[in-house]
Amino acid sequence: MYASEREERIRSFIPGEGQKSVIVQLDTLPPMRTGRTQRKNVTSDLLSSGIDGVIVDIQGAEEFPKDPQPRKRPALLVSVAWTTSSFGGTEGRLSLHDSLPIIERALRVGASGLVGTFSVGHQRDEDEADNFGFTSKLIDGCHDLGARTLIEAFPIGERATKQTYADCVGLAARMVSEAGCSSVAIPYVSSTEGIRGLAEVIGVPTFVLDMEQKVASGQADCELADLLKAVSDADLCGIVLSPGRDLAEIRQAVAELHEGELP
Amino acid sequence: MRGGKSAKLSRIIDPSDKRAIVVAADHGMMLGPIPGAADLERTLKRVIEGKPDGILMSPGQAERHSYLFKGPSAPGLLIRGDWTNAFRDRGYTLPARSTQFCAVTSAKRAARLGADAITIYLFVGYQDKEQEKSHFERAIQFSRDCDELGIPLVIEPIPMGPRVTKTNYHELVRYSVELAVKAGADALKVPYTGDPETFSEVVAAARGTPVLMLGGYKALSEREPLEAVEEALSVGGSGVVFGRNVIQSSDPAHTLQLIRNVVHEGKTAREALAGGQRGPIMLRVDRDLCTGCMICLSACTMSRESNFDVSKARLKVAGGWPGPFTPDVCDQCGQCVLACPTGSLVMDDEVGGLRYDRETCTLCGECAKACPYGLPLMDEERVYVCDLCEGWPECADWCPTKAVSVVLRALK
Repeated sequence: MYASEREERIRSFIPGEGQKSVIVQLDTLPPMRTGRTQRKNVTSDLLSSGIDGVIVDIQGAEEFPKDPQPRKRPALLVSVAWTTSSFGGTEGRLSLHDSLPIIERALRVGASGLVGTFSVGHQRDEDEADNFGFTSKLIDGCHDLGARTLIEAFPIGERATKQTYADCVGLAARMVSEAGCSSVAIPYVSSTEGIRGLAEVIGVPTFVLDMEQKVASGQADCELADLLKAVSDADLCGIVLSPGRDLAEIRQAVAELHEGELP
Repeated sequence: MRGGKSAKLSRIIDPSDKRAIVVAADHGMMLGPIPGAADLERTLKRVIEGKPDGILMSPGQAERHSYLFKGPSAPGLLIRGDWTNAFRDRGYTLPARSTQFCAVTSAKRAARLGADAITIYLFVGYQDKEQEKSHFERAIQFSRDCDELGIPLVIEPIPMGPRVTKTNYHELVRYSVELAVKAGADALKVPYTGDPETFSEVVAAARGTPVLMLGGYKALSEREPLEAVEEALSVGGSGVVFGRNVIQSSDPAHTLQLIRNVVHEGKTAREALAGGQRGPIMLRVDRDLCTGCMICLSACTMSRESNFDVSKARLKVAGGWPGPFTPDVCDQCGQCVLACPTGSLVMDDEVGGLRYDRETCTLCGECAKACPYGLPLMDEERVYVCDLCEGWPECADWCPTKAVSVVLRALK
């Protein structure tokens, strides 16, 4: 059956029942990921820290260090950076014709899946429609080629207030789930109960998204410890760490989510 | 229509009566996890028990729940090909500021997912004419792709946007149907225009393309959408596509059975609701379910007096906000009949309600005194008693919570 290769790929970054994954963002989508260009900082320490996946852009994937022990290498996830419209501008946005070759290139260098971002709450409804259209094309393209998708779904802007923030997260995540993504990453929503409730209605494996910057007025402030607790208590699939996290924090996440198994 | 499309469409529109009942379950993509769509797998299992002819789903859900569509008795699968924010009204978390749409999947992927048809929107009434043009072009593109793959295309033409008014609504529905047919629709999912006369013009504009009436928002009563279906079918409609009225029903299989009674078995809405049970009947009250909405009073006076003067209602609802509320209905105890000195009140043994003879009534008021609920109203002209709407009590039909319902009198 044609889905089998997708099943194989998804196993590399979505854990089995009762297990949690730690995925680290190393790409640089402005302004959500302003930390640094960590592509150059991909060290053997990071790769051997026990993480389950890394998110890099296509250039990063092609330059990714060739690991002498490929069985222990974290899954490679390639982000498609056409989402600058999420933040008000359209510069650098790629069209479908650009993203399809990226999917092919990503698979050629051994990527397990593709990563996109989708947001709701735009000042202009056109931006949400554009963003959802591109995200759907990415998901469609990945289906064509047997690749898996991880979509970071979150609200942005002033319209997502404290009162509506969780509902907006639920809307964004459910939209991409309905479009057919393989997994989603959602931001923290102020309580474990809240995030558990969302995960139950999203319908696909759900990660918590570590957001470096505040991009919506209702976005909850939280520490790494809150995120890790939410992953465990709400029984999520794992965490997607922002590029700003240092090696010690990454190791802490791995240790906690891999049930105390220090690398 | 050519072979492949025709064969696929016959999985949705029953060739024996050329009618279909489709359940729309694609709301999650437009509105997020709303009631009925939150745990979609559970809802779908309950929906399938009601044996719909087809289910409309998003591509993601279709892939995840494909196992529900296996086997000869499984419903046909319709896949939603596009998305819109148009249904995010003012009360929604993120209300739409302008109508937007985009494609979410291709005909090719829908075919791989096993689609028996693809459904897309076609809106008319945009403020921006470029947007309308672009929507029409997208519909044509889908039509070409569907033709190539032999998949039927169901177009949902809807007047939408600031240029749509009450006055031009049915004209715009008709016009949008014409456009959809021109774009290459193999079937249509169309809003009801509110009366059979204007809907017959819509059906005529479809030029033989099957017209399925869409349900829209969840109705307050079971009867309201069924009557619309009955009217739509009477002027050539080919069936229904119901979403929230089914997936948000407390018993989707029962709701589908009612719809089936009308669509495939040719019953009227009243007959469908009666489920074949004729009198003598009585009203049953569940006080815990009453929300004090008073719709029963309006339904009663509209039925019996053709107005909304609730002071003439044959039932009462006691209590004030926030409750509790106590509805009192005539339970045909017969005390008023026994008390009437002139025999003006008799029990209708066939229906179960009271029959009143104005000619012999002296307006003595003994009936009102005898009633344990103080129900019979009286003015200088007549006495108002419950005749159970001649066997089809409107109060029960319209009660949104079923606090007032109909039971066979033998069950008393």
